[in-house]
Amino acid sequence: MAPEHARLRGDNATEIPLALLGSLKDASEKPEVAALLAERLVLESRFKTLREAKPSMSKPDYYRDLEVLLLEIARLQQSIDLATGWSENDADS
Amino acid sequence: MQIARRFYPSLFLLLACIAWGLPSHALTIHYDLTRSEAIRACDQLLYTGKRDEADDCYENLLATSTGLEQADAAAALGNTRRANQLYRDAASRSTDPTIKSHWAKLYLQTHQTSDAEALYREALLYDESFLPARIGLAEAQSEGFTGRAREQLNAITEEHPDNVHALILLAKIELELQNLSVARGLLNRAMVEAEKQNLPPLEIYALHAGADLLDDKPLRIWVDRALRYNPSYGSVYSIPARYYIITYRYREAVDLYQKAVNVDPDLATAHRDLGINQLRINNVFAARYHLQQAFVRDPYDAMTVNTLRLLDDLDSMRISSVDVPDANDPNTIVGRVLIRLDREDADALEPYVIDLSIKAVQQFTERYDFQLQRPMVVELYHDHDDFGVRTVSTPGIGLLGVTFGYLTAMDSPKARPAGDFHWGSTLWHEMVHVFTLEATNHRLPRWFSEGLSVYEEWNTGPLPNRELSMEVLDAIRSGQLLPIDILDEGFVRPRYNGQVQVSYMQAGLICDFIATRWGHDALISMLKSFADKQDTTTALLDSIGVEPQVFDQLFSEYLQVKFGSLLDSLDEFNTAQQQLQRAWQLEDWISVEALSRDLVRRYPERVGNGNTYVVLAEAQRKQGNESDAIATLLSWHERGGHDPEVLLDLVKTLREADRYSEAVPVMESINWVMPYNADVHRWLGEHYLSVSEPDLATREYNALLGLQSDSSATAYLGMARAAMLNDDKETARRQVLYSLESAPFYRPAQRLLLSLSPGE
Repeated sequence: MAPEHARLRGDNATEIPLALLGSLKDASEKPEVAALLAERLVLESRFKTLREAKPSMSKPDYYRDLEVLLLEIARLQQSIDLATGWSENDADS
Repeated sequence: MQIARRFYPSLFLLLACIAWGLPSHALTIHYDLTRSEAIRACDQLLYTGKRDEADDCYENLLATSTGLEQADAAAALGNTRRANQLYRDAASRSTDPTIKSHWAKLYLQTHQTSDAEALYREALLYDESFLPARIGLAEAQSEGFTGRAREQLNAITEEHPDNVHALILLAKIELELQNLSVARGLLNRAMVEAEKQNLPPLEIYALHAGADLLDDKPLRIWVDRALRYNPSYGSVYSIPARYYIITYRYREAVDLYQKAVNVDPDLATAHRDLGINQLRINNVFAARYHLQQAFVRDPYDAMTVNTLRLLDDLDSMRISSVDVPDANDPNTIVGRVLIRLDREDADALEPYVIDLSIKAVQQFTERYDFQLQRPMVVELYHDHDDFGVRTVSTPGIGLLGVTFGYLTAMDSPKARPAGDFHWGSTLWHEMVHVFTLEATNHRLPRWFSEGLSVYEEWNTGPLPNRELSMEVLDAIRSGQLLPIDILDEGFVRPRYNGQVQVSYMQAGLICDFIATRWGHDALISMLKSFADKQDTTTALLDSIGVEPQVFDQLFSEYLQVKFGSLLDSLDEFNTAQQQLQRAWQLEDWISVEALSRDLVRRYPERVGNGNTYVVLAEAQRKQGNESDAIATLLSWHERGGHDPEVLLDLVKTLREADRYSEAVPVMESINWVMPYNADVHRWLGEHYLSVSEPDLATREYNALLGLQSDSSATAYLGMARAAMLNDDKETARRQVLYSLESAPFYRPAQRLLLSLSPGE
């Protein structure tokens, strides 16, 4: 299986839906998980927008905003993992 | 200088073919008395500096004469296309060898030596004793640095002791070999004959100046005489400058070429050589100016064109610098290294080049009792032909690395097929040259310079390989090694195929022998003798108290002790190899194991191409003895085996067997041969993090990043973790942001970012 940080290449790579694996397979059936995943989609969208704005921003501003956003994403990811019972083993599934 | 085993002549020939033009004012002196009286009258005007009158004279002949004389006039005017056609027409109507000889000279002047050689040979088919063709052929052969030209010219000067051209050509060769008294004798004879035959003495003056230069005497007397004869004879400076080049004194050569263009601003070859040598001492701007000047005057010179193209590439390379601290005192800087790399592989290579440069500068400063006086420049080219142009202005050369004083240029591992050469060893070899050349102001013989570099490769370099090839062993057995006092001839004028490589190894073995018997300090003492302008005989006497002839005897005894049993059984060795080949074809693994084990026992240092360790390991594997196979390959690696594919297989096997600590040195070795494997860098990075070696881990993750693979998130996270080991949270935060910028849901990086954030 590809590692969890596998990257897709190309202009629209981030638009390609990926199959949900391991504990996430059943996630969409749980409303609380579905809400978290919806929130994640919003953060993904904000991440994409920030990346696109990078050339027009000063370096300190960009990385300050990026850090704030990445911390939000990391915290949300922890919540998703907790809600779905995700474990490191799932990365290998 | 380090040479490769393979040569790539095709590109050289291709580019040489475009060199079809002569600078209009090139001063070629013709000693050939077969030129017509009328042409020789024009020549005389040119020789005495009356260029305009000479041109009028040639123009007149071009318009009024026919046949060979007309062709010679066109050639003298630099109208090479017309001259070529006229020679061709004349040759088609006659079997006179004179025509083909004159035609061949045109090819020689346009640097198309092999075509010139062919035409001289055709002339000799008409008349095998035709002297101008015999001399011309020897001249063409001398361009290829072969010993054959010297033999031919010796024979010709015995048969025709009054031939000025042959005497001059032979003197040039003797000067290159630094046989000054022989060269001066030949030049004196040439001078007497030139006066008798009313030939111009200009080249003789210039070569006398070359002899004086090699003797550390002033050139003034010869320069004055030449300029009195022809006030614009710039070659009186550029011809001796060549002897600075062959003794590696590029800065001094630049001074002479500058004087040459001052005297004759139209001398395209001097502008070209001034530019090329400015580049060798890293004066890039001055180099460009003079190469452009050369191009304006002679746009067909392949060396000029190639080097100008290289300058464009040089501009786009990445430069970094490192200050090297004293090994025992980190606050004292002992040298600075500037590193110039192609942008494409700069990230992957730079960490290793820096690592090796620091070690080299620290070790050689101490071992050679010399501190760098200016920054050392290290350049690695991922295009072998760029490297060729950088070093000898010609693509397709068979070299791996070249050092011009403080500047070292070499192939990067990307320039050759994977595993073709051990780039770490090549860089180490070249860096020794920087120290030994500069410690002696470039006054050491070639054999000692190469010998010390090979000796350091064997004793302190990144590869413990001490293998001598079968060709070298054959040369030792058949008594083909040269006496120490003429060992330079093996480099400068090889007499048989492979002699240069044999001479490298002989020189390395000699240095190894001296260090073993008299200590490393004896080598330093010899180095200082050479710096004091002593020759090999005196250096040996002063440092170890031994005459060259006695030394040769002692060295021969040393070789007998070291390699005697192998040399005595070399035929049996070759027979066993053939038996092994048959057993391999029959898949008779028991015999393969027995035979290869025997071959390894006979010559354990043989780890390169054709080694039997890998064969033995395969036989052991085929018989189910995996652990024996691993042991065999580890032993091969320990002795310097460095085939990257075999090493990578070994790493995978060791990792699968959970033998991680044994895999680490093997992975390190891979990077000195082929540093472009992402897995190896990642595994090494993880290992160095696990043993708390943050600097080494950072080096690996930097290299991983440089590969521009899909591992950038891993590489940045690795660097963040290494920064954490150094307690550098600010760098760690920055690196982890880079990691997540590339892969925002990468959990290990997320965890580190959260741990770095207050309140988490």
